[in-house]
Amino acid sequence: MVTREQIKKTLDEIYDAEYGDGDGEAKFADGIAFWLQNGEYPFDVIETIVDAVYGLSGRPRNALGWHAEPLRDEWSYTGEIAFVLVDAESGRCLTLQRSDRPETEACISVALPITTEEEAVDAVAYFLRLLGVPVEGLEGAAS
Amino acid sequence: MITREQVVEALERTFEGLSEAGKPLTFVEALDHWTERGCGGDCVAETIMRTVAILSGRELAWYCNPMVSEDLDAYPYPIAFVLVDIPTQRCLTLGGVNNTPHVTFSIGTLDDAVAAVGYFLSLLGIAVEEEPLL
Repeated sequence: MVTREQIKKTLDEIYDAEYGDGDGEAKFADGIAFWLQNGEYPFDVIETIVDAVYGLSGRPRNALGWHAEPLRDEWSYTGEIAFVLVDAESGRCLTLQRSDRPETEACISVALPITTEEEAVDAVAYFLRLLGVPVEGLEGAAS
Repeated sequence: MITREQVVEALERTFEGLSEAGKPLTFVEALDHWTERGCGGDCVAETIMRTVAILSGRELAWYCNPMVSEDLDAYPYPIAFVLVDIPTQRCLTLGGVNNTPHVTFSIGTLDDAVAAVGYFLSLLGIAVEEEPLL
């Protein structure tokens, strides 16, 4: 069972190792804040989330296919990131959402708010659940 | 076998259904907006994928992402596409060394759009008259 605390720790460790000096000083929350303040493409935020999902799910590198796009309005990033996640082995799109209503089209991406570290933890927990990894607080949730 | 003319007609017809008042009247004009002003790439992309769904008759879902090109000379007007077959949930565009779910095409002309439609139809086992230009 993966806990929220583990997810948060993993995000901070990855961010510090990849984008800081590896001394524990660089915090993932700072990376999110920097993105929202400066409006630069949040490559570091996306990669940290993806790496955390790999690390906590135990899936080998490239076992998952990812497409991620920070969403924008006319002027700036909205704070949401659209993700498409595919299980590369089966080719199955895990983020596909089919609708029961014929007038509503199926959607293959999920747009998740990533404006705080807590929201990033939610995002990682969501992807882990799609991969069948039990997450604290989401045990009974349907996938 | 689907002909190039059928694809062009389908693109225009599909675009008509998507177009809003005050927006470009034809798909070719929408392409001009995309290449000259850098806007409307989402509508161009959506038209391409809806055309694929119509011509194939398959139950498909897609995600399109007009991208900002850092090198317009080398790779102009890029749009990323993800295509999923709904009944099997399979991502048909999955591939490459990193298992990326998307393919990216340079969509600047009608020929580019026709080639993209041809490529996606070929993934669905449907032949198009001309070889897709990849």
